Amino acid sequence: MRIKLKPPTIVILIYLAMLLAGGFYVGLPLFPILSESMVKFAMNGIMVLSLLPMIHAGVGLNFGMPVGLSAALVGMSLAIQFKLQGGVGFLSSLVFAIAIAVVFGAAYGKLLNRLKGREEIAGVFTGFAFIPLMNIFWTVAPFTNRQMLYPVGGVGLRPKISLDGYFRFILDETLVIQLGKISIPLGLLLFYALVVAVIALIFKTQNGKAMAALRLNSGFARLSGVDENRVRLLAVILSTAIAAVGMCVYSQSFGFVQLYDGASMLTFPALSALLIGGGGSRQATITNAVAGAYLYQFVYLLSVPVANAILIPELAELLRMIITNGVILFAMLMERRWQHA
Amino acid sequence: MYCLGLKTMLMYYQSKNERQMNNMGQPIIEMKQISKCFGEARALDQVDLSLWAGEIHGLVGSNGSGKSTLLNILNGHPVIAETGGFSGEIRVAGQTASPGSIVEAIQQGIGMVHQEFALMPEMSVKDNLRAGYEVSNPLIDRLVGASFSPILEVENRRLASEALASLGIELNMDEKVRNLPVHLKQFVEIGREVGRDGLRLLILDEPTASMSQENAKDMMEALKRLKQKGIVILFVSHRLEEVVSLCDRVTVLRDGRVVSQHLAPELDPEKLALDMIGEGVLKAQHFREENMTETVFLKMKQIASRTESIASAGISLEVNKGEVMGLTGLAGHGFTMPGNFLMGGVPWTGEIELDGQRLSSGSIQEALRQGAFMLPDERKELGLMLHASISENIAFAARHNLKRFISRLWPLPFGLSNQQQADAFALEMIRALGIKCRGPHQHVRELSGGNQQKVCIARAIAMSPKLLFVGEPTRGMDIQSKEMVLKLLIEMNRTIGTTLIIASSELEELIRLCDRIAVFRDGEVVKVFKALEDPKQMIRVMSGERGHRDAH
Amino acid sequence: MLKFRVFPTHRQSRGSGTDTSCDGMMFHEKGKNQLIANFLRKHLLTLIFGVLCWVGFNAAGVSLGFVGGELYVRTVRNAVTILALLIPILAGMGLNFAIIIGAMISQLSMIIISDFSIPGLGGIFAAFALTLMLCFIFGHLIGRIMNAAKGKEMIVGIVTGYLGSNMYQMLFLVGYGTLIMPRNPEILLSRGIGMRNMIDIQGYRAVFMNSPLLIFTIVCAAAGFIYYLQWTKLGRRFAILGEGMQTAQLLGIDVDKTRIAAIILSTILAGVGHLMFIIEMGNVNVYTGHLNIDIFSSAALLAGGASLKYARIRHVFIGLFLFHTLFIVSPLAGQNIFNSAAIGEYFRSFAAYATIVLALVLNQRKRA
Repeated sequence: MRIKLKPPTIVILIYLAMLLAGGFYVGLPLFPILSESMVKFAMNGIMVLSLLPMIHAGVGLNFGMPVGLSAALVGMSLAIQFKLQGGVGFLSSLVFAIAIAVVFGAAYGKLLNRLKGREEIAGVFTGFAFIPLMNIFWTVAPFTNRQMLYPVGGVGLRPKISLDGYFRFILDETLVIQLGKISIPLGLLLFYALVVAVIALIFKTQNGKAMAALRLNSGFARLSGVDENRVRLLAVILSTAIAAVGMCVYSQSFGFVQLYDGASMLTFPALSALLIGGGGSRQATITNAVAGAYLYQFVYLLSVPVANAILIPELAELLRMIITNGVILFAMLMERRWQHA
Repeated sequence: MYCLGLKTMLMYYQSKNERQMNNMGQPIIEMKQISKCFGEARALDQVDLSLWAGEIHGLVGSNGSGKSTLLNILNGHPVIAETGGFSGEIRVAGQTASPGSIVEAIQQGIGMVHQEFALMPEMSVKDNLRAGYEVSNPLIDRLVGASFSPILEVENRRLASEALASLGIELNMDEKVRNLPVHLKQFVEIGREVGRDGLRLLILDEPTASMSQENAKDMMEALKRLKQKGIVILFVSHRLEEVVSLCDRVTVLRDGRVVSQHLAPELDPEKLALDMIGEGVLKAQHFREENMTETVFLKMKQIASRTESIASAGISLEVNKGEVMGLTGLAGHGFTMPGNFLMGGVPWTGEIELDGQRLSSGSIQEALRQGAFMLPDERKELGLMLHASISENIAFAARHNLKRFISRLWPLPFGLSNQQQADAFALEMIRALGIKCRGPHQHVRELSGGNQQKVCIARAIAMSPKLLFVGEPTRGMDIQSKEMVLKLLIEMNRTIGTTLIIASSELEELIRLCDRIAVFRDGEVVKVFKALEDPKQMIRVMSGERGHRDAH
Repeated sequence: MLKFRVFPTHRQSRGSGTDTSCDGMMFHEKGKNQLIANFLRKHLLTLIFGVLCWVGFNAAGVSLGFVGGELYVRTVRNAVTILALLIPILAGMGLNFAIIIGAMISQLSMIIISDFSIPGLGGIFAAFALTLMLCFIFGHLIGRIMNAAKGKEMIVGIVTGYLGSNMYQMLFLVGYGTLIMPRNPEILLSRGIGMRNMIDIQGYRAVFMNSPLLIFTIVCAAAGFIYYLQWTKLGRRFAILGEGMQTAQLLGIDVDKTRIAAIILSTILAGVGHLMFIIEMGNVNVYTGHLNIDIFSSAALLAGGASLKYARIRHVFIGLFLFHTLFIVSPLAGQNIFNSAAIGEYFRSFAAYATIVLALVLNQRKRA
């Protein structure tokens, strides 16, 4: 099979080459970065995967990811509230998160069904609107576990709840294998693989095939008996639920549950990662999501020490943001051209 | 005999045509050897057409005959340039002038009135009438730039009402266009084109399509006034009786070619219809034995669209079990609508009974459950997933509705699509129907039109429906594919007893295949013929006068 | 001559053409309830904001005078920026979220002018001139970007705004002190690279706020310009474009050029508007001053009764009044009701975003 790279992928590869060159110049510790990159990849990768069902059904890029992420935050908060620790804590977080994500996703999906053709802009603002709404919830919700509340003064939950003693690093530290100087977090990667397998299986079911038909030709699908709104709703719920799972995995790696505006910072990087991997708003494969997630994280990890070496530490973050937004804008402008190609 | 007579008559017209034209000097618009391809499909093939000062020229042809392509070329529509331009020459008043854009067409004096109204519904009549060429003070133009120069409202209003007056009407200039009834909207659009300086040619695309008879008459009066001002009018319509009563000369297009030209006063709707359909129809022989039973399988009673308030009696139609029923009519008269109502999700009012079961409006799933299936006439738009494999196209509907090609994988609680089964079935179909392809995984978009239609038929076979609707089954195919496709459809009827309803503008094919043929006019079934009846009768009914209706 | 009096009439015609005029035709058939429902739908957002303001005002327990004074300040700060949104809506491009770039340009201009230390009114005028010039250039660029993604102007506007914001931050954080050397090194961070967070321009504020006539003139000139525009050829072209790109194209209007003109004018107005904002504030928040300007301006306009397809000058001022009243009273109301000012702040952010979602839904229903 011939591999055709899209411009975002090419740009990021060139940037990677430049960073590697710069890295060698400043004497970069490559092995720790390689180890770290695997953690970061799986930590953020599930959120990238979560974009796939909606794209598969032709709903487009999920700009409303904060809806799913918020569901996960509620799920994890519940687990902490009930003082569920370790594996039980993580599993129950997942269960709570998915259950809440189904409810949130259903509402979000109904909204998107009313706004067919404008899902992206609607997603952006639904996501934005969700965050202050959840902020009110964090402020007034009757949680009682002292570790979650503001220590002194302030009302409601604290912005950063430590997972120490709950399920911090529960996947990261399972089945870690040392290969020479590189350590491989096998548990985390296996969990990631599990999510990939679930998505692949769902795409093979009758509903999964119906999603693909809706994307390829919605008129054809409708005439063939597909209930468009139902299948789209299903895709949105799936995306939201997988995003929630992604947030749980992210938090256990991060070590904290980041409430309030924490959920708003993760959407654009995930979208950008998928586009870097060669995906688009009308067509994206699992391979795109995996490759994009890894490239995105690897490049960012490399850029931090390089930027520090030239004494402008903000540069790494700024460049990451420029790449993130630039790639998304570029993909939007080129969308029509790519469709015809 | 009839055929021969017609040809002689045509030759007579044409020679008379030329004789008359030679007396008139130079044509205003001259199109020479116009050809246009969209990809591989040839939309226009060496079309010659001259338009002379002071004539109303009719242009008729069935869907896909190349009419709209010709209009787009004349009007400089961007779609032409985007798809690679056209070949041939256009001369306006003797000078070579091929409009490459709408602005250029306007500059050369070509104005067009669009079927779907190029109007701004929220703006006033006055603003619509001068849209795009408002008058401003040239001095102020120089001072602040033309863009920021204020529009001279009084002058505009005067010019706008003058333009309307030249059509013989007067309107409240401040009314919003959206509040106008449909025929007045059409007047506003004509008025806008007439108001431009130097208008030479006015193109009207189906101007009367949604008008009552009286309103259409007003419109035609207005056009006759314009003709007296020396403007050439190109009148495109499916309403043959209007074409006949209005036009001085009529050109018939079929399959991208000019097949005949007719001259007033010897215009005859029947002859025009015959030219549109093709003379082959007169030789067509019904070739199959009847298969139909006496039981009514599909019953439609006064079906009309729920969203469009059209004052017609609606479609009433009965189809028997095992029958092959043809639906036909001239383009734009609604003979594909029964399929859209039953299987296309178009909401309707009335009563539909399928296999003894009442259906509810707009539900595709319900009809599918009752064993109906549709292969729509817009094959590429609705009938296929062009960017998916042959196997996926064939398997999809059967998998989704009949749970074929699905198998369980322990311990999963849901079934997974079985690619091997689908591929095997696709391979079987590829062999049985003779689909020319590299294999079941090739993308459908790479196939020719005929092979794409065979994929559609394979989709239907996978569903083994009790009732199959097919829209325009042979459009855009070569002769061999056409025959093959028709044979396959009949095979389905014979072997699995599928009741077939074929909506087609190819009357000849219907006569050969069908047990009965329902002829549509103005969105209603006017008469149902036995296939053995005289084709001339059918054409007469198709092209018949509006208002006058034959008894069922 | 035939004379037609136009009344809403039933359609007498038949055939397969689609009727685009159903709304108007059916109007008189609707009962009183329908009329009320229609009115409610049309003014839903305005009514919601009206109720919220009333509740908030009572809960906050502040005086009318206090709110009035605050509103005056906010009119100075925001009116012109909201006006900037009108033209793209008229031209059928929806809410122009890229006005945030105009805002960044005005901050950049003000910083440059104050660094050159041009004093007093002269400095203010110089800042306006520089803003106009840069906005023209960048407006053209944004217009071209939006032309490349017709039909997705709003989301493209947002992402363009983000990208612009990133580059702008890059310019100040990395560019200043390395490539660009300011005259006054005091405005740099102590490490010598990057601009400080806040630049003081109190001197200009004193001059500006002491000439209310100037402020009044600018606001009126901006509103007057937009009002005048609708009588010009350009304004008419925007209006035609607003009724549909296809129609405009068929009428021989240069769609791309007209759309670029709309965005240029919008960017310029945004730049001017935000310049008034920062001068009134008396300092430039270099990295964050422009953020959310687009969202809050859009929400204010929608609260005033505009839709994504229809907006008038009156909507700007009604919206300014309603949205900013809510903004002023909500933290106090939150404090008084929930004992938490933060809740009031969250609520107003939610109101801004939800307003835009609701406007999208209402707009879609009209299209259907």
